[in-house]
Amino acid sequence: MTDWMNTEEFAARVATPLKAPVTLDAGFEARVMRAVEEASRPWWQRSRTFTLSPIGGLALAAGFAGLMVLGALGGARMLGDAPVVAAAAPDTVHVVRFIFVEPTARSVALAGDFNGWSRTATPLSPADGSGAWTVTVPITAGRHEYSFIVDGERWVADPYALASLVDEFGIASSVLLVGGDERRGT
Amino acid sequence: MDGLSDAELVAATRAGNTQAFAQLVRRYRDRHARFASRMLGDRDDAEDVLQSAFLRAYRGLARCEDSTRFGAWLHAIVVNECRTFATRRGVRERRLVRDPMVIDGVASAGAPAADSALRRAIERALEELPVDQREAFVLKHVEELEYEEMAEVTGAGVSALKMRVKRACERLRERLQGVVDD
Repeated sequence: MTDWMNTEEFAARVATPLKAPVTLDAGFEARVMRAVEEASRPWWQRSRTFTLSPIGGLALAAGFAGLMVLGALGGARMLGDAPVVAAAAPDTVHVVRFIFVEPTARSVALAGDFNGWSRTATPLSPADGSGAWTVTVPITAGRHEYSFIVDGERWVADPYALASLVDEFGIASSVLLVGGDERRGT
Repeated sequence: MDGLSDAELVAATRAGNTQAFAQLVRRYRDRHARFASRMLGDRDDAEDVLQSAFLRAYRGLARCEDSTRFGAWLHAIVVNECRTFATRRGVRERRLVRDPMVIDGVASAGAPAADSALRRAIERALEELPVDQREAFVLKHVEELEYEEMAEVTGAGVSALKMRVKRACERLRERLQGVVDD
C-alpha cells in the first residue's frame, strides 16, 4: 500500500508540469474548416479534374451494359459477388455496381467515403425478387471504404469484399480499389 | 451557437451546417491539444494529428451513434490518431536521442530555470515510453480520466490499462531518478 501511494505521489509530481495548457496555432481552426469544406463538397466539385474521352465513354457504356446482363443472369451467388469496376480506363469516371444480398431487409443503403458516409444519400434498390439489392455509383479512382446499412440502422461490411476492417468507430467496413487495372474490389 | 449542446451541433452539421462543426472544433480543440502534444512531444505534430482527427470525425459523423456523447466519441478518434502517428513515427525513425546531459542538468539546476528544464526532462522521459504506456499514463495522470473512461476511449480493458500505467510509472521513476524527488 505504501509503495502504491508513493507511486501515486510520484506520478502526480511528474504529471503536474505536463498539465500546462497547450496553445494551438492561430490558424488551426481555419485549416480544419478548409479541409472540412473541401470534404463536404460532392466529389465532382472538388479540386480535381476528370475527363471522359469518347472511347472511354463507349467502354463505360459497354462495360455497364455487360454488367447489367451479368447481374440479371448470375443468380444470388453471382449477385453477391464483390463490387465490380465497370470501366477501368485511366482518367475516366468509374462506375461501380454494388450488390448486397439480404432477403429479409426492408431497406439497404450504401455509405462510404465517396458520399460523406451518408446514411441516406445512396439507397439500393431491390433487384429481382431474389433478395439482392443493387446500386450503381460513379466513383473516383483510388482506395475507398464503404459499408451497407440495413434497415437504416445496422452497418454491415460487404461479405464478398476481399478486405474488411473495423474502424475506430467500431463499425465494420470494406475496402474497394478503383482504377488502373483493378477489376474487383479488394 | 455557443449555447447549443453537442447533440444539437452534430445534428446541424449533419444537415449541412459546417459552422456548427466549427463550433465543435472550438469547443474541443484545446482539450485535446494538450493530450496530443504530450503524446507526440511536438506541437506541430500535435496540430497535424488533431486536424486529421477532426476531419475524420466530420467524415464519420454519420457513424456517431449517440450524438449526446460526441465528446467521448471524438476523444477516441484523437487517441487513435495519436497512437497511429506515434507508432508510425517510432517505427520510421527510432530517433529518440538519449541525452543524459538534459537530466543531469536538471538535477543540478537551480530555480527558476529548473522549472522549464524539469518539464523538458519529463517530456523526454515520457517520449521514451512505449506508445501504449505513454498513452495510459497521460490519460490517467495528465487528463485525469477514470479507468472506465480510459477503457472507453482506448478500447483496452481496465486491468490492462492499470498495468500499463504501473509500468509507465516504474520506467519514469527509473529514468527520472534524482530529477523528481520521490
